[in-house]
Amino acid sequence: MEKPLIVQSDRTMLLETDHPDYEEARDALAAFAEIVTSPEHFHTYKITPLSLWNAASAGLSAEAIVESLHRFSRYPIPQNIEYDIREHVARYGRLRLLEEGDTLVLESDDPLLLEQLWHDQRIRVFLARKLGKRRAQVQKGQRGFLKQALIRRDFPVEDLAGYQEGAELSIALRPVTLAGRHFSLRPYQRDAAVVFHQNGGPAGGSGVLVLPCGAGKTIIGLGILEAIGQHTLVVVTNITALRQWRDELLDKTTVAPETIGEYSGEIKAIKPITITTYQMLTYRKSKNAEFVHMDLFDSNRWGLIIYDEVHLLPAPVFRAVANIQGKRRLGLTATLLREDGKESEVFSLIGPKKIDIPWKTLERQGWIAQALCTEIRIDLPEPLRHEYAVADVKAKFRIASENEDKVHAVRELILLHPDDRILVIGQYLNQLEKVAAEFDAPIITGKTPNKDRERIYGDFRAGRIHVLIVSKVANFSVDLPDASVAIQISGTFGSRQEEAQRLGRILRPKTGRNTAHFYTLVTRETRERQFAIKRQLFLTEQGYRYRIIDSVDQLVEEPETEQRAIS
Amino acid sequence: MKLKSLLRKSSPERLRSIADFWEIPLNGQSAAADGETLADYLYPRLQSPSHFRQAYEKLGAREREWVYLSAIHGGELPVEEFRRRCGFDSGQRMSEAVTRMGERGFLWRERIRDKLIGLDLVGIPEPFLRLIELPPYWQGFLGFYLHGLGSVQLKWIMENTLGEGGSSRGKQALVHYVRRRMLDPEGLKHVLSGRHPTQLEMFQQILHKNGMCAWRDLLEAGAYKRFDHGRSELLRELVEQSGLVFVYRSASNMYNNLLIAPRDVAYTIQSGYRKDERSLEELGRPAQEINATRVRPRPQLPSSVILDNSNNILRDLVILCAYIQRNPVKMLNNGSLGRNDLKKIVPLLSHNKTLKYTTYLALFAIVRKLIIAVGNQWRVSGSLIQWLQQGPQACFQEVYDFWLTANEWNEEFVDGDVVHADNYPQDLINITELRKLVLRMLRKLPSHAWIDFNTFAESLLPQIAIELPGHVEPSPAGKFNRHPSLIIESMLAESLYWLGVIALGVADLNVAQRLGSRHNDEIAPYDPAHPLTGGLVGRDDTRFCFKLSDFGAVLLSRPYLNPEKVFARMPDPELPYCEETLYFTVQPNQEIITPPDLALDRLFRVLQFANIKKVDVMTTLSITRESLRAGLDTGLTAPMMIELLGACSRKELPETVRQLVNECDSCHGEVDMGLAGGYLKVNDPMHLEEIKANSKIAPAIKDVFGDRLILLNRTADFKKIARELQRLGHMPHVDSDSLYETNDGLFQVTLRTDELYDLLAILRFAILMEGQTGESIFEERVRPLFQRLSINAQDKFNPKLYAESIAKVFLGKFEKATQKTVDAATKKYRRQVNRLMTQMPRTGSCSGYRGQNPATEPPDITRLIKYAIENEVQVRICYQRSSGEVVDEVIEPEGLQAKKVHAFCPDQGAHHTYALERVRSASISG
Repeated sequence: MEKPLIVQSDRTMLLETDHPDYEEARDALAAFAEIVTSPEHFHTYKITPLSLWNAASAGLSAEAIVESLHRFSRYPIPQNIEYDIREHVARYGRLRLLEEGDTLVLESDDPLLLEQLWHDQRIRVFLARKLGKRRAQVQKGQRGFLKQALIRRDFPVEDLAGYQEGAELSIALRPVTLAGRHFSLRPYQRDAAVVFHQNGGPAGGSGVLVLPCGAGKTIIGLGILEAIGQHTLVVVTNITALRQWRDELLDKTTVAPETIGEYSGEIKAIKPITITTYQMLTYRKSKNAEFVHMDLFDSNRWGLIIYDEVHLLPAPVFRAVANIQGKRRLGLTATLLREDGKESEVFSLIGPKKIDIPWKTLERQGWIAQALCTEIRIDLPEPLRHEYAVADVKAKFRIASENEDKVHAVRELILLHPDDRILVIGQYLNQLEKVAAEFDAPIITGKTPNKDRERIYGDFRAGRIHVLIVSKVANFSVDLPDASVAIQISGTFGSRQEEAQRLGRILRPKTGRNTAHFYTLVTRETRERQFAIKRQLFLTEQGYRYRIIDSVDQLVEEPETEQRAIS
Repeated sequence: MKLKSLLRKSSPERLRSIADFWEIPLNGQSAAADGETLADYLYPRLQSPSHFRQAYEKLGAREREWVYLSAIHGGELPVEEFRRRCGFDSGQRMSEAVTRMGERGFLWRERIRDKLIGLDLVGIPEPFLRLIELPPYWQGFLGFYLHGLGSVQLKWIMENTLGEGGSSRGKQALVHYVRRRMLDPEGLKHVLSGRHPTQLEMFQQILHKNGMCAWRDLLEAGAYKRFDHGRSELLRELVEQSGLVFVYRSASNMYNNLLIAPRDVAYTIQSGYRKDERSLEELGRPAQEINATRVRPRPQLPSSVILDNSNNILRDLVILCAYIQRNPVKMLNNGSLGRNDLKKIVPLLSHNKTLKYTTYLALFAIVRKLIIAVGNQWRVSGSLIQWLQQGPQACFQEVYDFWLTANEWNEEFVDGDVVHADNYPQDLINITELRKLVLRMLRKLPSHAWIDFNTFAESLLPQIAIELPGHVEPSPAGKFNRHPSLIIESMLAESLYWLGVIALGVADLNVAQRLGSRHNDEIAPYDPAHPLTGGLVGRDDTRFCFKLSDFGAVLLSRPYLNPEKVFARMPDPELPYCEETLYFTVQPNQEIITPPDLALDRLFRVLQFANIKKVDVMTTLSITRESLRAGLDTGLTAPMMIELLGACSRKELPETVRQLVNECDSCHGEVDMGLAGGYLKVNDPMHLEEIKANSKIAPAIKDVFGDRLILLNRTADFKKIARELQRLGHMPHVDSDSLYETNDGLFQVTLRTDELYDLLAILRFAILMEGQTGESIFEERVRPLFQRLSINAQDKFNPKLYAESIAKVFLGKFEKATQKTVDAATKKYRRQVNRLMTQMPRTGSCSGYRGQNPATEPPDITRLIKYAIENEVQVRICYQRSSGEVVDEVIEPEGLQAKKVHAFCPDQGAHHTYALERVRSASISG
């Protein structure tokens, strides 16, 4: 019997998902490799120095890693891989940062290694003096820079120097949310918080948690906040996420609204819990000017700094983060792979990966819904074809997007899901308004006043209305209620991030079948199709089932297929 | 060390333990016997090769190394030197090890007590030396040669070289005394200073040639290539009495003897008079093991990279062919592939490949006619698929056979490909013979051990001088000739690595890229000022090591010079490419993951419409709109692609892929581009509207015919238009893939033989038709074209004759067809005539004019007047005088001249002239 894993010489690995040993192999790989793509048959993993150091920091030996590769590998393992693994794992833990009284000490078991670092100009600048053969004193305030410099020299340091305590904050999770729903951490969320906190010991308190979209990263953040109970700075990617954090804090914890500060372009309030964006931190007046808001890190006695979507942490923030190594820090992300390849900076400045839960596991446990993605192709009506033919490129996309025949398809889909809550998402307002008028459904756009919005959301949640039309802008609003069916009638493929977030909306667990549907309506043979291909690639790479059909009738005709997919 | 005396001196217990380890059965008598009897019993048995091999193989790798180390230095070493060279950190550890080995009969201690020298020795007994086969690269140390000399010669060396009297009694003491003096840097300097200048010069030459040299070469090296008796005598003395030079291999003719300067002596000199204390490991140690065994971080040692190309070369060859199939690849004047095309192929191949590798594959493809030149374009030959279908092992056999026998590729020439070099390289080494020599040397290597290249080259170079005489010594000015060590480097680090016979261990990938393509200037040149340095191949940063791959080991254990015998039975599980898989996995994200052993013809077929993403253990391909278009352009259809994917896919073909293929297929050909005529043809009038409305294409439009055809300007840039069409989501199909526009505005057409005959026949038919009608229908355009296309193939079937016969058939058919039309017309005509005849009135006025009265056609005044003149009738006209007055008159027109009418006016009784243009109206009067 062939084995499930193929180890390649560029350190990528392919894992066959239909193999009986798949699950066992996947669990083994998760400890020392990062998942890159997960299409249906072969998942791609990558071993990076960082993933190996993460493994080493979790106590895994090179022998164990090599052994599990041998156990699952179909072909002989390329010779350099084994060597690389031993080489990198051996480097972890050979250097430690300790705190002794007021001073910070770099310690190594190997006097030669310390000697070598002492004579390395790029590292020497951060060291104050030698304290014997195996120890050196670190210059004040250089903890982060030293760690960064060491990791560039491929020597990850184990940081055991502990943390500065922040100002106290009284915070607890509510058993019943303000919205009136029962609330508690899910088991894996609690585990993650415990692994991170480590009862406040020096081994805990800094690190990165990797969880899939829809797994409730924010909630884990709240759990950790409760465990630490100190003033906290939360850095997020955009203003929408900022508000989402604020709302979640108010909804699910006992903190008072006045203790939460929003530090954004509009409001600049520093409160015990302050939320800001990366954009805010990296703002400066001109290309060479100082970063105006970077001193936010020092503006309060923070006990914890949370970096949401840590894989997007911008490079200028690295420097600020390096400055504040005395603080506890939490990174939250769905992937550790950065577009710029600076994963190791995250490792050195935020901390090692503490937990990594694959989404399939959560799906199996029922924490996130199983998603079925379907692309429905619709013809361009004959009268529009001439208009489309002579239009310029931008207008073409719009004509294709606003294809009137999509309305019929939407109607059929709504009929197909009479008991589900359905979101119809689109980009063009007049199109959305037409759809809204057609189905007599409420519409939410960027202009909808907050009061109306909340009322409509309330109705939607309560099931008084089951179809809700939202514009692309509103679609990013975080208070958007959960739905089990999303129908995208227009809109370009956004960033991977955006798409993941949109999908996250419908991935919340569902009572009953726990299946979510994501429909995309695309006009056949037009420019819209090209964007659809990008979305299709993204979704299939994430491992979602993706179907392409020519009319809604096919869905009705093949209920059996659907049933099988669900079971 | 004498085995017999060693045994006799040993205790019975020790002898019994030796017998035990060697598994030599002691019968009851000898088991109880005393030491001496036991020693005599063991003495012959310990020298038996079978017993020795059995015991030797029971030793651990490290223990075997100790034995080896003793052997290469002649069997014994001073204790202290042994300890250092074996890397024992204390004397105690070494003692324990030696004692343990002693109990197994392998290592012994002995003490020399002589007034010349007192020494403790560790080593193996002399008979074992004969039983241990030393590979050539571990031969050539001073101790080994000194032990081989007789006492007389040793005494000569004492007197002649060291300037001391041989006052010792024992040969062993003399050996070690001479060795110690010679290997001591100061002693060596003293020895060299005492030599005759000519001898010194000869010794330098030997060193410069990597420590080995033929006797003959030293004699002829002077400015005059004449035999010089004095020089000859000096050389003889140098060899027999100096201790600096020994005979490495003796030939039947003394002048062909191969001389060697002991490697430790050479090392001492070349390292700037540093004592040689290299361990066995250092003599042949690979970077890999240095790294793996090191305990401390030593950043100066680069991490190592292991390169192994087993399983890749055939895949790479297929990828090269697939690239040529899909892309226009130019043929250069020298008959090779364009460099720029090759550069585009390199990144598609398996990782870390060079341009030279691609050139090699291309050369094979050209020689094997897997690709053929059509016009100035390379095309994949029709036989490629068949070739691939014969199975990977059969393909690989040919690839290996090609390397073994090809003179087209020569490792001495820095670019490799000799045939397609712009200037034919001169005076190259007999490369096929050298390949055999290298393989023969490789065969002697232990499989699975890493070998340092320099060590290997050192031992091989002198043999090249002997076995391939006449090779031109590379000179700095020599354009093509490279130093033999560079040739061997190219052979190992390129050819044999490419073929997967050996695996390479290098410090980093940049080094690997340079290996094999280095020039003579990277060899330290012979410098008269410092004659004793330099000459060694390669600097430290480009050192590399290699080992035989599994395939290499099997290959060399078979008759490797005869590929047919190596691959006698196929499939052969011991050789690579044994199995063939027929299936791969198609993923929904349009990725195809193919196993390394996918059947090659299938790989080639898939590559026609899929792009290479990565070639590693698995080959990862991706299907995109562009790749599908390329496939469709080469004539594939969606059903063909889906059928292939469906047949090969291990799992059900994903919906996404099927849809993409179908979509592209339906798009493809909706717009056709014709390069020759410069036109765009669309299936759907809407597309025509769309193209007309496009601001980038519109300027190139010359004319539009109907609702489907656009004629383009002559100056239109087709590539730009194609790109723009692609941007609009179309997949323009270029009308003919056998028609290319060249840079100078010419078109090149590729025709099959039958197509050419047909074309000739059609032209010939046109000519025949002209001849028959006697009219110049084609205005002398057909005949010259026909002349140009006709080729006079004397020895083959003449296309002219063939065209002639087809043309005659055409003409026959044409005549038949026209006859039909004439007959039909005649039939129709006859019927009409008959009808008219029957309708004609038999009596009545027969006015010549029948038909309508022209007077009823008011606008045509001129015709009316003409009519009036001919029929002499009166005309009433309304005439405007020049004064502006309009009058009605009746006239009798008599003549029409230009625009004037001459007429008689009956009312006035006079002739007048009227201007036609002022006649407002006219009618027949009366």
